[in-house]
Amino acid sequence: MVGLSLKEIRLRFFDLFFKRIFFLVVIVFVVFYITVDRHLLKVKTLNFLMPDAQNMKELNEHPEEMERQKLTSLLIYYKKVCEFEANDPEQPAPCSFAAYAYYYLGKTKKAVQYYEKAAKSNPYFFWFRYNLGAIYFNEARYDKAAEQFQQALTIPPPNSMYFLTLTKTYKDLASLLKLNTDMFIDNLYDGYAQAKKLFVISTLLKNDPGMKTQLDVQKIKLRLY
Amino acid sequence: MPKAPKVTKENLLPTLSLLALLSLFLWSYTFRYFLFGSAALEGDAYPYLGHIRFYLENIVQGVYPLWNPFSENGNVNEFFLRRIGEFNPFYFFIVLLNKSGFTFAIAHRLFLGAYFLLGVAGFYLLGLRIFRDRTVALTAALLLLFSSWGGKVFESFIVLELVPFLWFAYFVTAFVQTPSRLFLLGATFSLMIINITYIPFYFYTIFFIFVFVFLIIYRSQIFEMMRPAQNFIAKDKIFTGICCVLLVCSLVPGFLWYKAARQGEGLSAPRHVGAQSSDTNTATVGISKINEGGILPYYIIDRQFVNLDKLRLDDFYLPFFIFLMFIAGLWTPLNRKFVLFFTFGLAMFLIGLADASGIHAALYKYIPFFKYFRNLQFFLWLAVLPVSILFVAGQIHSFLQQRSKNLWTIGWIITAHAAAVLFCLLLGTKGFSTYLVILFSLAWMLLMIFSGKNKKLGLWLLWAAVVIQPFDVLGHLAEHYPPVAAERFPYDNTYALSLPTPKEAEKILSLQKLPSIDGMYIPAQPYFAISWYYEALGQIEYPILHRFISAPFLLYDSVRSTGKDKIDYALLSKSMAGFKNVAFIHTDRPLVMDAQGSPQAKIITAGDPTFEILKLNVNSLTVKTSFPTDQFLVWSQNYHSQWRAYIDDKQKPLFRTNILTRGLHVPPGQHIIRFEFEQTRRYILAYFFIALYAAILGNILWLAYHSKKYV
Repeated sequence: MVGLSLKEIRLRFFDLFFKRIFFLVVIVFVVFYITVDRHLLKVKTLNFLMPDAQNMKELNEHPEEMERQKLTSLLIYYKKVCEFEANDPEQPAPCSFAAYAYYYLGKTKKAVQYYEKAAKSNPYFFWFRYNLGAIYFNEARYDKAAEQFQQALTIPPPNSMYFLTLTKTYKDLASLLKLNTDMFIDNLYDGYAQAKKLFVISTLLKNDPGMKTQLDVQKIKLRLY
Repeated sequence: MPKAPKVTKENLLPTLSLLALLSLFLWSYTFRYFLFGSAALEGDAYPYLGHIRFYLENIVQGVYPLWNPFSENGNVNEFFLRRIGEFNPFYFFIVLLNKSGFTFAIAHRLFLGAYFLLGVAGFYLLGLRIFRDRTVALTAALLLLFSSWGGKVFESFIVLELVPFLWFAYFVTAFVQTPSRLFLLGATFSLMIINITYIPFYFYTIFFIFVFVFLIIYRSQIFEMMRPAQNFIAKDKIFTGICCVLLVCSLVPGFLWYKAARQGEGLSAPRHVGAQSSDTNTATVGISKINEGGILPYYIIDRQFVNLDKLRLDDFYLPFFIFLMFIAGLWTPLNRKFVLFFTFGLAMFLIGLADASGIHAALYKYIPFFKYFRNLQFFLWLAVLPVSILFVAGQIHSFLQQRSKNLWTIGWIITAHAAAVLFCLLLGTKGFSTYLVILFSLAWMLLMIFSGKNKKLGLWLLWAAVVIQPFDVLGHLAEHYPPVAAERFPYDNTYALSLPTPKEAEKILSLQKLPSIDGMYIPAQPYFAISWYYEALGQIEYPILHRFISAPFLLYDSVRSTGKDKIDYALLSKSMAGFKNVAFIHTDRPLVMDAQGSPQAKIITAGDPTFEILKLNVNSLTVKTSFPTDQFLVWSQNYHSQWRAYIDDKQKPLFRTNILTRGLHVPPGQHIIRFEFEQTRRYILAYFFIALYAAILGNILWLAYHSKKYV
């Protein structure tokens, strides 16, 4: 560049950027960001991926018996929703559904990752912590399980009900599966009772792993909710 | 531009030919489960198998099937013939294979594969015309071959559009460069196939957008470019005139279908939803329906880079090498070709986004033919994909011509490949093949820069870079699909009107108690059916309707005229449920038949001496009747205004009866009754077109054989 006049520098710059394919790439981005309704595209993508009612029913009732392919398509859908709603207060719900699908696909690490993400976005929802505790319990990681169950038990029930009844994802699911508020309350009641019990068991096992046989823990395989 | 520059002379032809053959083998091996019938056809490919089979099985018997008695109680088959483009002479390849011993299903699949390969061959020739370099042309062809088009062939029908599109592009390019009768006739024939297949408006949108962009970019050279073609046309006016006439002829079937659609008797209710109420043409599509579809970039990106192991037949996919080459070639100097491909591709992409970009809405409002097609995502497959490949082929061509040893260039190439590795690692791209592609691509580029003489090795490296990943990815496609069950069609048996036995007829008539609707199969809304059938489905409970039309022929002693508009559906429903001996005709013409017969209509049974079927095919029926008294004969198939009835060769009025069926007054005594769909001239026209298309193809092959130069 030394020894070049300003005009020559400008010409070289022009030649380097505006007379190259790179410039077309810039145009694509500009056109896409200015003229295209990206939000609408996201909505259409989600509509395209949306699972049907039968699959949702199966996911809720018999996830362990679901075909891999169906579980995968559900996972893809909820992952997309989780990704698209990154800054949305509703985001934890689809992330937790993705975690749920991951778990029943046998990908426990990913399930934990997504439940952690959901719990971080909304620390006041009982079921995120409960499910994390259940996963850890099933993996015999009783220290972590106890931690999660304890956290779950500190969450006031009204916060969880609030989230369940007002979040679009849960509302849609409830409408699809014909679930009502009473059912949510019953589940929550059972959940808290179960969490209390599991917290105690996890704490005992954490301190004395030898108690596994006494408590017959091998036979317990906790379900996620 | 008087002549096309010569194709670069290389001694690479044997290597290129070997690579081409090897690629064909690999592609066939990759899709062997689909080609040889182990994996099921998906999506629209499956019903299209039915449409093509129905057409071919009838045409080889000399019957051009304008009516389909198997579909929705009788359907206008023109709609389905327009979808497949029945005059395409390549369909007879299926017949040949079938006669050679393959089942129809396998013959059809082999045809789909071969037809797609024919399209790839056209794309190769197009690449050769544009770049004048066999290596580049072959690379472009391989990129198309190993794109998701291979899977799309077995999932959709749009390969029937792709192939003539590609050949049209080739023939037009060739004609502009080196005008000859072969290329003009070839372009004409390709356009004729496009005009009769599915909806040609996809092509015309692509064509007009391309021409518009081309005129803007090449405006200063356009007259020079067109001069050879102009001179040819001026010299060979007769031949050009014949081609124009042929093109006009090819518009006739579509025009006839458009006219029929305006009458409103054939209807695709799901398609027509949302169309303006002022639009009486039942072929139009509402804007809301169109906006349900469109290109979904977020979904495509996900499939392309992340979830490759979950790729399905209908997913969009390009070999990873395209992206590598694109990034490595970012600093390639622009030329008009690049700007043309880019602008055209971007325009088609934006149109394909439907309501997300707003361009389509404007086109829908102001250009009439935009109301007649809806699957805007097809532009991704038919336009964006091929032009993206041509764009990258242009980059390859520039790279091979320059092979700059500039440090910046080499540094950029290495950086681009390293970034690709990082990109794949971060995204968690599964499969070792993607990383192998990066390796081979880098090796090829560096070899070409530093040792341009080692072209054969370079070709192999380039081939490996193009083919390895798709061979891996597409090879897993069949795993996602269950083994195919035996493909059952309503057309598995030759069309026969089987009359019920007297016992069966008694059973039908005696079912006075209606089975409860719960647990009774209620069919989904038909995709395409006669409008009277839709009306009957909407007004009469399906169990009643189903039982009523299960008896092929009924005889009535009494007839009532309801008029055309005021139909008492409740009364009709009751009458149909009980098979009451009164037929209701929907006409303003009075027809009085009021004989006091049995309370129930009579179902014509097998062995009835007063009714004998003499001749039957899908378009016509001839029967001999000898009823003792005046009867009103009802044939339970759907009524359509193009059905005509003749008694002893004299045409008689055929009435729409009981909402959807067809009825005819038959006097006593012996008579020959003939039912025919459509007029004779319509069939003559069809046979003429079949012969015409076959003759043109024959002529093209003859011209190609005698041509001195067609590449």
